[in-house]
Amino acid sequence: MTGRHTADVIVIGAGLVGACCALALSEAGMEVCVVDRRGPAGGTSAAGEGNVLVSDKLAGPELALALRSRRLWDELGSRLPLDFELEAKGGLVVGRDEEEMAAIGDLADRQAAMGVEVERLGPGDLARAEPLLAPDLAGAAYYPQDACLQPMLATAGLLAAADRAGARLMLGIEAAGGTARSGAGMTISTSAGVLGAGAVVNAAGPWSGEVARGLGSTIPVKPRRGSILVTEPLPLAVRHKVYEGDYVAAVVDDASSLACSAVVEATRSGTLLIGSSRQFVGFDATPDVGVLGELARRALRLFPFLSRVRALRTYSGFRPASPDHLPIIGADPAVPGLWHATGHEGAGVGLAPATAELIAALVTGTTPPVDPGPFSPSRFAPAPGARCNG
Amino acid sequence: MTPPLSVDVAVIGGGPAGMAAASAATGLGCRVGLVDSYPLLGGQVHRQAWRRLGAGQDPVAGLPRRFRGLGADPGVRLHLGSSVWHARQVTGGFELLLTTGESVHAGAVVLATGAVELVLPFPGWDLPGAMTPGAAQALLKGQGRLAGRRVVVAGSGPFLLPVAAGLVRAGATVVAVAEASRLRPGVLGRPGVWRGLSSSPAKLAEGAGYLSALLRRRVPLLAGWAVTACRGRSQVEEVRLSRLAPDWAGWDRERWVRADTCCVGYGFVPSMELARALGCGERPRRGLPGSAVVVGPDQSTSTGGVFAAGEVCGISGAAAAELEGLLAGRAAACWVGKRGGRPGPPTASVRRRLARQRSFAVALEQLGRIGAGWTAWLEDETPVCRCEETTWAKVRQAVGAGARDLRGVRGLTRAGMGYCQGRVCGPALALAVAGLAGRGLAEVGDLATRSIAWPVPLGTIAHSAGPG
Ligand SMILES: Cc1cc2nc3c(=O)[nH]c(=O)nc-3n(C[C@H](O)[C@H](O)[C@H](O)COP(=O)(O)OP(=O)(O)OC[C@H]3O[C@@H](n4cnc5c(N)ncnc54)[C@H](O)[C@@H]3O)c2cc1C
Ligand SMILES: Cc1cc2nc3c(=O)[nH]c(=O)nc-3n(C[C@H](O)[C@H](O)[C@H](O)COP(=O)(O)OP(=O)(O)OC[C@H]3O[C@@H](n4cnc5c(N)ncnc54)[C@H](O)[C@@H]3O)c2cc1C
Repeated sequence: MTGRHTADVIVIGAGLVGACCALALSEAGMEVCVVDRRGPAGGTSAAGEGNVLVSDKLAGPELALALRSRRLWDELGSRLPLDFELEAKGGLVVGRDEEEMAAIGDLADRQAAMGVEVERLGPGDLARAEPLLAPDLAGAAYYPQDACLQPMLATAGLLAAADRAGARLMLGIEAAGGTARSGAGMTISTSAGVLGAGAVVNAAGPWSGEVARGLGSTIPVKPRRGSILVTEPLPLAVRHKVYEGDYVAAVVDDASSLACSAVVEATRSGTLLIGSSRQFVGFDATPDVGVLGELARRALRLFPFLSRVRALRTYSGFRPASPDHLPIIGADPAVPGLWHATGHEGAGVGLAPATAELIAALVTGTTPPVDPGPFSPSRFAPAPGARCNG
Repeated sequence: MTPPLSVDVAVIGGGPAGMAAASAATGLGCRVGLVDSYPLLGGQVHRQAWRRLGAGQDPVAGLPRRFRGLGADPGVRLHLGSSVWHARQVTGGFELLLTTGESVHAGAVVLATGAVELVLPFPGWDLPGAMTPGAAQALLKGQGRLAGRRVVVAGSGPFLLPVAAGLVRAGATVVAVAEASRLRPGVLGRPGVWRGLSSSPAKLAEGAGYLSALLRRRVPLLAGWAVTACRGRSQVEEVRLSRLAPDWAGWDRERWVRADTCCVGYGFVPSMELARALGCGERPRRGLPGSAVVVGPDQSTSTGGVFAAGEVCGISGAAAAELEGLLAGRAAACWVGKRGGRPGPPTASVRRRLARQRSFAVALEQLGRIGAGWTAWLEDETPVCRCEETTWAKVRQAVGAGARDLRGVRGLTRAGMGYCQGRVCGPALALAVAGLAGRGLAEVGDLATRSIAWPVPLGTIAHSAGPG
């Protein structure tokens, strides 16, 4: 099986990450083909929220990537052929008591040292910034760089730009497996036949573990379910993205049961989105109202007025989670020609452009603007000699 | 959290199916909880006028005699003016969560949630005065009000006739009744059609009664014509009637008529939200959007302990709904171990009558199909989703940009994201997207949600949704 040469690079997945990779690679001069078994944003990118956050990152490599990505989103905002509702509305991380405020302040200091803009708000400032918040909160950290966008529109805009730059879209086509070609590149088998390319980028989100297996590799990506409550439209009730100070703890809490923390924000049409839950339940999409109850109880603690506001619907999605909460970006250690751009868990929207920039630099052999070392897929490969040691 | 109320059988929906199920189950000695969103029993077909006198209006007084016993039956607890926003399996049975904050525990559930009308958008359908036939009828039955003085009734299906006849009887001028399908030669020869129609002389007679009432008032009855637009400054003033080409791809004649109201509907779509929440197996409907619950001969669904009756299992009319309710109520009672009590008509004869009703419905369905070319009457600026004001041009662009299913189109256009959550626009959108993307209705999916069947205050969710 050699496969006709389809493109220089085949990107598997037309979510936000795959769409960003397609555009970056096309603009780097590669001939690109994007394959997705559904449509644009047919997976998690249509089932999350659209936050581009710096506030929720621990001071470390992910924050460096987030800061870079934040700048790239601004650039994309001014050049994509479609308005994707990018808005720097700012994030508020609120604390209920002095102890929480101390932890919030501590994280803020370390983030500020890496270049994050952050401001402390006392109870008075907080009430002015977000008048409908519960009156008994101790304060907040305000992050003016936190932004949001509409991920499905952004994906469509990225794909349209990639299309203009020469990329080819193959939608409704499933990648089933493949092998490295002797010499260079890979052959993949799809529901539309065998395709060949110099390189394959696995951007299949929570399904990227399966895709990697089909291509002869393994990466430790697991789906982590999240559910969101959507309310009826309200005029300007919540101005920022507002979330509880223990959100970061919920992200790094690996309990398979349920980690919850209130996250409340408005969309452009006035509906409020209320998250956020994290559960390892495989790809099980059975409704779970217990989770909705927990989300509602937490949201009411932040915004008591929500008690009478009606929820219209819920949705849930599967975050592509990696075991150390860092994305997996770079060359596969075992299969030459295979690259991964996945494992972003709850931050793939924010991190997509910088991820794509890294991939394009690595694939074309130029120097990336952010150190790719910490994201390398080889960090999960068994250490050399490990097999001999049993 | 308030302690849940406990019953043997919970019935969701107080239309003919739900009322018949509740009567059957209580007759066999069950404690029954009957929930309906409307403050009075009856459902769509037996809708009663609500006088808004606060509490105290007898919820059964205006019903046919056979249902009035439900009001005073000590075995039946009525939860009226309250909707089930979620239903789930719990140990020992099921839990229904109500928008009032109450929860009901039951050993078995009968789903009798009925159907909603299928609306196909057309230019001007968002003007005041444009509505569905069901809305006009609900105004008349529920509030004793006429929807308008000069009315066009149009769309497809047998439901147009009783609505038009009701409007005429109440004093409106019906300018025309337009049925979009045309009786094509040969259709009566299709398998089952003639037999189905002749199986229910009573129904044919009912239809003939409506027809003669309309003809007596010289109401023009048009076949193969549709409302393809309406216009007016701040409300409907003129309605365009068009004679449709085969498959509805355009029209060869049109005329504008003066009217202040147009009632347009193309049949019904089963209300599946709670069936989905309970994991009941469903089947696609041939050539029609939406799906219906699959039931066995005793109305059991694929989820043990859940039974379904009436329009939620497919559109067969009020008489079939009632017979199915009777069977479902019996089977639910049997499921919770109650078999004694009042004997009703023998099951075999109920099933025979039901089979006749269903073959009549199947035959009618074959007479009217939605023509694939209906989108020809949409203009670029026609809103397809009224809540979000998504235009037809935007939907086409979304499909052009690669969206291949309803969720994809919703993400790119916001269609179906507003207050009604796609209950109104979803089915038409499914037909349109299937046409644009060249895919089947089943492949483009739908927008029905599973977790929240009815808008519910967050305070109620916080209060009543505990861990499962
Ligand atoms: C509730 C929730 C809230 C979230 N909120 C945020 C937030 O506010 N900010 C943020 O940055 N992130 C957020 N996220 C996370 C973010 O949505 C994801 O990290 C991001 O969407 C991942 O994008 P992706 O392109 O990697 O994956 P996806 O969007 O899932 O794309 C993968 C694509 O691959 C395709 N595919 C899979 N297998 C195959 C195959 N074999 N062949 C062909 N195609 C295939 C799929 O169809 C899919 O389209 C949230 C997630 C959830 C669930
Ligand atoms: C607007 C409208 C008008 C109609 N008028 C006629 C007519 O005049 N003649 C005729 O032959 N047929 C009519 N039909 C068709 C009609 O639906 C059936 O003939 C018959 O009423 C079906 O009975 P059912 O019990 O299945 O459903 P329905 O009579 O529709 O009863 C379903 C009931 O369930 C309730 N319900 C649904 N979801 C929930 C929930 N989550 N929580 C609580 N309650 C819920 C609804 O409020 C409703 O009362 C009409 C249909 C509609 C939609």
